Amino acid sequence: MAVKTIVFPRCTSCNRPITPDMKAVHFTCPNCAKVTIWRCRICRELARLYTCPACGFEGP
Amino acid sequence: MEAKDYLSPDVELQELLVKSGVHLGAKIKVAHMERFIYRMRPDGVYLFEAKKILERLNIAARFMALFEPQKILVVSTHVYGIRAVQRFCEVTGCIPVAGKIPAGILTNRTLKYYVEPEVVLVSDPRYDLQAVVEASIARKPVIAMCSTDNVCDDIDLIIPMNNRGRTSLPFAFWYLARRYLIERGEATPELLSSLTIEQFTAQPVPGEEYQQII
Ligand SMILES: [Zn+2]
Ligand SMILES: [Zn+2]
Repeated sequence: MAVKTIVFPRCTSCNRPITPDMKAVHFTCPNCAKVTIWRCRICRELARLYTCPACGFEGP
Repeated sequence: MEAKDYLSPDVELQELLVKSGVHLGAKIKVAHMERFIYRMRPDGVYLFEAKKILERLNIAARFMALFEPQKILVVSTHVYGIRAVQRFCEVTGCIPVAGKIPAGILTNRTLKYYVEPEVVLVSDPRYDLQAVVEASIARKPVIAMCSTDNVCDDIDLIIPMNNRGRTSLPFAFWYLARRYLIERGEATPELLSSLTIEQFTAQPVPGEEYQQII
């Protein structure tokens, strides 16, 4: 039987994989609109900073 | 990294911003907003940097310009924000929620007023908590105007500014409307010159008096 792998997106702040049941949010970088930024529920609740890997924009 | 060149705000605009009191914060500061604070006035009021406010407003407008106007929900329950939101949505075509936020607007599909926006803009995360919580359940990004004493949980883009002033909220929405139209490529010189801050300012209703909070 072939082994199937699922690649989950990772949170931009804490790098944890985001499973579909989490209340995570994704949006394109507000500054450069090139990269999709993912934020997990915990990072949103704690207002942790995220940094865009393409342009270096620091949010929120 | 520095923002692009065309973002460098001109001096006149900064003067207008300071005149409108957009750079004024509150007398309390929270850790989330500490990195936006420029200095403290001798009477204890924290101040924002005018350049940073304009930069953030530009970024917010550029982010909103990625979406169709029908996919943007603009919320304000503040007395001075109601007229500003209504005018903002007249100009840009976004979905306004001015005044009371109907419960379940983002979560209950059976309701008549249910909407499914891509991004939510709130004028104060404390007054508009209902919208922030529902956006979190619906997994939509939230842009928020925050003062120095606003806790910024569940917010994805902060606009640091005075969000309780009689003149500062109209200024912010006026500027956002202008930038949004420019970024969308819908702006014409006539349209931009016809937009004035007075149109965004709350007019006192006869027999009813507004109270200045700050
Ligand atoms: Zn995270
Ligand atoms: Zn970026």
